Amino acid sequence: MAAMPQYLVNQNLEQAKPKFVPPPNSPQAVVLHREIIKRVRIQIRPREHRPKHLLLGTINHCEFRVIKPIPVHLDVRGNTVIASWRQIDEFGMGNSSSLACDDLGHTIAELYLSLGADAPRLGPDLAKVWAVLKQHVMRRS
Amino acid sequence: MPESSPIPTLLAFIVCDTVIQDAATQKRTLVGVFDQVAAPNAPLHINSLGLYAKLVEGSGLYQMKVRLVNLKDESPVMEIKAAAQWNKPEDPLELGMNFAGIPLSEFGTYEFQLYANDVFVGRALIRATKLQLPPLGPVKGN
Repeated sequence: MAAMPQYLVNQNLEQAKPKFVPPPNSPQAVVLHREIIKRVRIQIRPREHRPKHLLLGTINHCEFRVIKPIPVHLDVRGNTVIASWRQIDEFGMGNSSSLACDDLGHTIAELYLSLGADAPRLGPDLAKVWAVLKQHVMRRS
Repeated sequence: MPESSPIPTLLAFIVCDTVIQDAATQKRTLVGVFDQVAAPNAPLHINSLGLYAKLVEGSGLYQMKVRLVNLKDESPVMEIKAAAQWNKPEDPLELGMNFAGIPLSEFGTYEFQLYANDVFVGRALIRATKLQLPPLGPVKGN
C-alpha cells in the first residue's frame, strides 16, 4: 500500500493552532532582547535655551554690592525658573532667569541682614553661611 | 580678561532710538527713549535701536557683552561683545551702542542683558506688541 500522508492516517495529530494577534488598537511593543530591553520611553522636549549656570554680579538692592560673582545654578520646572546658590543652599524663583535671580537677590539681602545682626551668636552651620556671604557681598557704608 | 577687575554696578540701562555722542564734549544724547515697539504683523524688525549703559565702581579692562533674548524661552536673538578700558575708577563708564534691523520673530517680551567679564550686571526690557488699528468708520467731510 502506498504511504499515506500522516495527517490522513493519524487523525489525533494536533494541527498548528492559529497565532494570537492583538487587535490593532491595543498598545504593542517590539522587544528585541527580552532580557535586556524591558521598556523604552521616548520623551520629546523643546530645546532649552536657558543657560544652566550664571555668574551673578548684582542682587538688585541699593544697600549691597556684589564683590565676588555669585555662582548661580538655573533649573526649569514647568514655566518657573529656579535660581539657586548651592553653596549656601538658597534659591529664588521667577518666570525668567533674571526674575529668578532678582528673587534670589532679595533672599540674599534678607539673609545678610538677619545673619549680620546675630553674627556673634551663630552656630557653626550658619557661621559658614555668613562667611560665604561676606566673601561675595558687602554692605555699602 | 583680568579676574581682579571689580564687578561694576549698573546705574542705568536704557533703550532708545539712537545714542548720539558729541565729538567735542563727548556728551551722549539719547533720542526717543522707548520700551515698546508695535507692528501689525510678526516677524518684525526694529530699524533703529540704541542702548545706553552707565556703570560705576569699576576699573581696568572689561569684556562687555550684550545679549538680547526672547523671554518666552530665553532663546538668543543677538549677542555682541566689546572690550572697554576703565581708566579712572572714580569716574563712571558710559557705553553707547546703535543697532539696525534687529529681527524679532514674534510678539512678546524681550530682554537686553548686560555682562561684564561674563558676570551678569543688569537688564532692560522691551515689549513687541501687535499694532491695533482703529476700525474704519464712516468718512465725514464735505
